[in-house]
Order: sequence, then structure tokens, then C-alpha cells
Amino acid sequence: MPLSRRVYPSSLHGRLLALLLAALGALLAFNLYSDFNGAAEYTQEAFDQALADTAVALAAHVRSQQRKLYFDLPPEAALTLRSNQLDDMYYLVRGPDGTVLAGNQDLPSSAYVSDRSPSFFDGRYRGESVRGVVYRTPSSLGEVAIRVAQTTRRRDELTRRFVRQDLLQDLLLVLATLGIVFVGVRFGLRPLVQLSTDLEQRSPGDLRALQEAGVPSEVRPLVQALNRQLKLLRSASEAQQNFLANAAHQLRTPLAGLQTLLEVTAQEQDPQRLRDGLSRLLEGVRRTAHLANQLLTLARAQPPANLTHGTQSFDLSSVMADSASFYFDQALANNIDLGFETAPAPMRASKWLIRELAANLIENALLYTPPGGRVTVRCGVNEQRPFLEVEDSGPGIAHAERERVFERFYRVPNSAGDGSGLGLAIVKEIARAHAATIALTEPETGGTRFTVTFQAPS
Amino acid sequence: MRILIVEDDRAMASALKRGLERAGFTADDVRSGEEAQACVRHEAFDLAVVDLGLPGMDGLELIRRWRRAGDARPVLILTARDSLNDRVDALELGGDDFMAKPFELPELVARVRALIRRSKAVASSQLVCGPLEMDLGRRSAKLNGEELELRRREWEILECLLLSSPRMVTKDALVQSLTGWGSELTNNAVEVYVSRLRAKLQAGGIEIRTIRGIGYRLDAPES
Repeated sequence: MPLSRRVYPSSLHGRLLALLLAALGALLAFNLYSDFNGAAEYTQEAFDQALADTAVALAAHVRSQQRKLYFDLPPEAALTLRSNQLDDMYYLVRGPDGTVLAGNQDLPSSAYVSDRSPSFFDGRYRGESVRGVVYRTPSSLGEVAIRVAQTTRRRDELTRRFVRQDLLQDLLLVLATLGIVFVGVRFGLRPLVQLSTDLEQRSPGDLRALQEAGVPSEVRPLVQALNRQLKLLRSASEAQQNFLANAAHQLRTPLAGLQTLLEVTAQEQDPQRLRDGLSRLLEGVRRTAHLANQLLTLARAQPPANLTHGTQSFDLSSVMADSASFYFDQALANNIDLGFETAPAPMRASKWLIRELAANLIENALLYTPPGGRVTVRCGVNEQRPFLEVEDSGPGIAHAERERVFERFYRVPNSAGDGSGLGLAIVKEIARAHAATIALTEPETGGTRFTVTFQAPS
Repeated sequence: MRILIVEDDRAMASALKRGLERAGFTADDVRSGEEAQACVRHEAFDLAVVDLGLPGMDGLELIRRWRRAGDARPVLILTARDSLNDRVDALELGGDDFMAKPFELPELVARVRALIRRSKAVASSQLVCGPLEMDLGRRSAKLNGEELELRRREWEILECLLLSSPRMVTKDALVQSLTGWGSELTNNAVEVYVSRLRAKLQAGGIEIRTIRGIGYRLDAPES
């Protein structure tokens, strides 16, 4: 994992919970903030209203007598004007000229005196924070100002209680949500857990498809992808087993023949027949060695083995020139006119595999072309793509056989020679490993023409 | 002619030894690079046949050490056919020729002969191939013991083919080695010289074969 990548919790539980916790935390903070503000506003309004009512009630006790104003309030009556038992209440009544009619003279006034009536203010009195109101009311002798202040104990306590309660509720909500998510994720992930348990309990060779029924739609693509892969593996494994069985059979047959031949030859007394037997043995061993080589090449050409060979840049025409001599002997022995028409063809591939590909095409052509025939090898570049072409004047391949000749161990019925049936399979495998295309056509003069077209070198 | 076989597979080594002895060589076989090192210190060999896949010190390492020590003895490399991606690798590392297993014994003998022929030509200026003898120093050739008349171009082509035999020589390589003489040479001209050479060598059973579109190969009569 690259270092720059951010580290997330590795489990889905962890990821979902971390995400939710962060989101819920932010929501909670916002909720708390707005709740607190709202609640403070409401309590303020309610308490202020009560305070204003008190001021109005006090105003009723201002009387005028003989052009003089009096404030007449018995102490017990003053007690009943308090809005609650917890808070202390203070008041101050001033006449139009500012004379104190009654109350606590040192009661603070608000810094900002508004013309509105009543107007509210915050302040401190006797070491405590207070909330006050100024109420102006006209009388026959002018305006009377009534100031009422009350400690904020009750308000503060209410606010505290409210916050506590709100916080508790929110915390409970968060815990409940997390719990539900935890259980929900576990429940939701059950199909995945079930899937992995199923896979774990399988035997290594069990490549059957997974059950798709009852799988939630989100998980179905995963199961389908797994099933596709399993199907590919299944067919690859079947092909491998077929190949192994075939290979074993193909190797056993000539070995059994060789054994019999060896037993017979060992008892031969006549020197001439002994020599004949030995040369037949040599031929048989040669064929078997060739077959083993072909099998090895085929195994090496298949992915992922071919990846280990690495590719290199080279000119196909010089590879052909290098190996021409080798095929020439075979052509000479079979009296076949082998010719090369090569033009430079730079390409990038595994050189060893390309040599094998060419060898199999050319050997095939030499094997199935009757004596006196012609085999021509061409290479060059066509539309920027390097190509290799092997053309022979042999009997040709019937249309119906053209697909099948590339199958492993398949041999055209009643065909001459004694090939392993692997040559063209090797060609196909190597072409596939290099993303090359193979065309099988018939030249105008009859016979067979294989054209392998490679990718343009980048 | 004494040949050292360095091959860890006992059956392969004994087959090589017998095949080379039948062809008239003296052969000794060892199983590892270390043994080979000890061997060349005490005995003189004309050529070594070295398997690349040796236990312990591998074949390439052995050849590298010989070359570093100034040992120029020809080496024929044996290898599995897929273990070497490019024969040039092995040749650049100091091998003189290489053969992929499995191989035909007669082919190996022919390659050994050619390698020895080449190394002797360097040492003694004498090229011998069956009934044909070429004295590179005196520029005189004999076929079946009789003086062989060769023009300069014919001589050059024959020397080139003979040094490469049993490997083939591409027409381009021939033209390139001849145009060094200051004049241009066409492919057609090469064909004319080759056909003249063919006529002159017929008596000795030496054949110059045409590989259509590629070049020529000189094949000596089986000896």
C-alpha cells in the first residue's frame, strides 16, 4: 500500500461507525447549540413578560394626592408580586422630576435607556447578575418610571437543567444509532460472511459455481464475478487434466512400442537384422524425444510460464536466416525445395518462442509436403505489422479441418508423416502469448499457407 | 585431437565420448566445472564440449574463467533448448558454437571438426576439409592432392564458406566480406563465382548448396 494513501479502518464496521460517529457528533453539536439558543430565548421572553407584569402591577400602586405622588405598597403585597420563590426582587419608583418615591435607591439603571416601554436590561446588583425592566407610565403629575430587577437564579437553573436534559437525550440517541448501525452492518454483511465461510470450507479442487439465490443484489455482482472466474478456472483445469492425460497417453504409446522393439531386437542373432532393429529403435527414440520437447514447449508457451522468458527486440528475418540451415537438412533429406523470401521485420517478442513458432510451421510444412514439392518461408512487414508466412505445395487442409488442426493432439485423418499433433497447437499458443493472429489460407497453386501477423513494435 | 567433455549426465557423457572416439578423436569426460578446471591444468586439450547446466560452477562461469585466464581453446556449448533465450548470449560469453539438446551425434561431430578446423587455421594457416586443403599463408589450394586453380574472388568465397562450414553463410555476409576489396559486388556476381567453384570442387565430392533466399553452405563429404 502506498504511504500516501489515507489509512481507513480495515473493517466495514469500523468504517461505517467512524463515519457515523463523526457525522452524528457534528449534528449533535449543532443541535445542542440551536436548542440552547432557542430555549434561552423562550425562557427569556417568558421571564421578561412576568417581570413587565410585575412592573405594571407596581404602577397601579402609584397614587396622586394634593398635587403630590405617593407610592403605596404594603411589604406583604410586594412579596406576592414576585414571579417565583427562588429569586430576589428589587424595585425603584421615581417621579417625573427624578425623585425617589419608593424602593431601593441604588438599583442600577441600564446603560442604554430606550424610549420604549417597557425596556429590559441586564446588570449586576448586590453581587449577583440581575435582569431588569423600566416601565414608564403617565400620571396626572407627569411620567412615573418604575424599575424592577430580579436575580437570574431561576433562569440560570432552568437553562442548566435544559442543557443537561438535551445533552442526555442526544447522547442516548447517538448510542442507539450506533448500536443499530453496528447490528445492522453485522446483519447486512451476513451474506458476505456466509460467502467467505462457504469458500473457506471448500476443498482446494472444488471449483463449482457459488449459489446466487438469496444473495442481496449488492453482493450479486461479486458472486457473479467469482463464478465467472471459477468457470474460467474450471475450464482451464479441465483442459490441463485433459492435456496431462493425453500427454501421458502420447508418451506411453511410443515407449511401449520401443520396449517391445527393444525386446525383439535384443534376441536378434542376424547382424543385419540387429542393425535394422537398432535403427528403428533410434528412430523411435528420436520421435519420443521430439514429442517430449513439444510438450515442454507447449507448457512453456502457456501463461504464466511465457512471462518468465521476457521479450527482446530483434529482426525476424535474421532469426530466420540463423535457423535456415537447420531446416535445410530436413528439406534436403525429403527432396523438398525450401526457399526463403525475407525482408527486414523488426519486432519485440520472446525470441526463443518465436523460433519455436517458426520451427513448428516449417517442420510441419516439410513433413506434409511430398518429395519434389516446394516450401517457401516469408517474413517482412505488412501495414506496419511484422509477419511470418510459411507456404507449402502439399495436399492442403480441408475447410472442415482448418479449425481443428490447431487442437492439441489432433491429426488430420489419413495424413502422411508421423507428427505429434502438437506443432500447430504450439504455434497457436505462442501466437496467443504474443497477441498475434494466425491466418490459414490456400495459395492459388494449391497447398497450405500459414500467415502469423504480430503486433507492431511500439 | 583431444577433447574434454564436461557433462554431469553420465549417459550423455559416455555417449558423447564414444561418438567422438568413433570419429577419431581422443575424449575424456568429467562431471563438473571444478573437475574440468583441475583437468585442464595438467593436460592439454584441443577443444572442450561444455554442458551449461552443471552442478556447482555452471558452464558459463567455467568458460568465463577460462577466457579470463587467457585460454582461447574452442568451446562447444551444450544446452537445453529453452534455457538460452539467445545463442548470442552464450557466444558472447566466450563459447564458439552451441548446440541445443537433444541433438544428432553426427551433427555434433561435424561442429567439433569445424571448430578444430578453424582454430588450427588460426594457428597454422592451414584449412583442411576432407580432400580439400587451403594454405591461407601461401594462398594455394589442393584438391585430392592436386593443385587447384582459384581466382581471387573464388578463393575468398571458398575460404569464407569453409571457415563457416557446416554453418551456412548468408549472401549478404558474403557480399560484405568481398566488397572490402574496393569494388562493388552484386548478388548475381556471387552466384556466378559460386557456380564456378562448384564446378571446380566437384571432383572432391565437396558441395556448395544454395539455400534459396538465404545463402550458401559448404558440405564436406562424409568422412
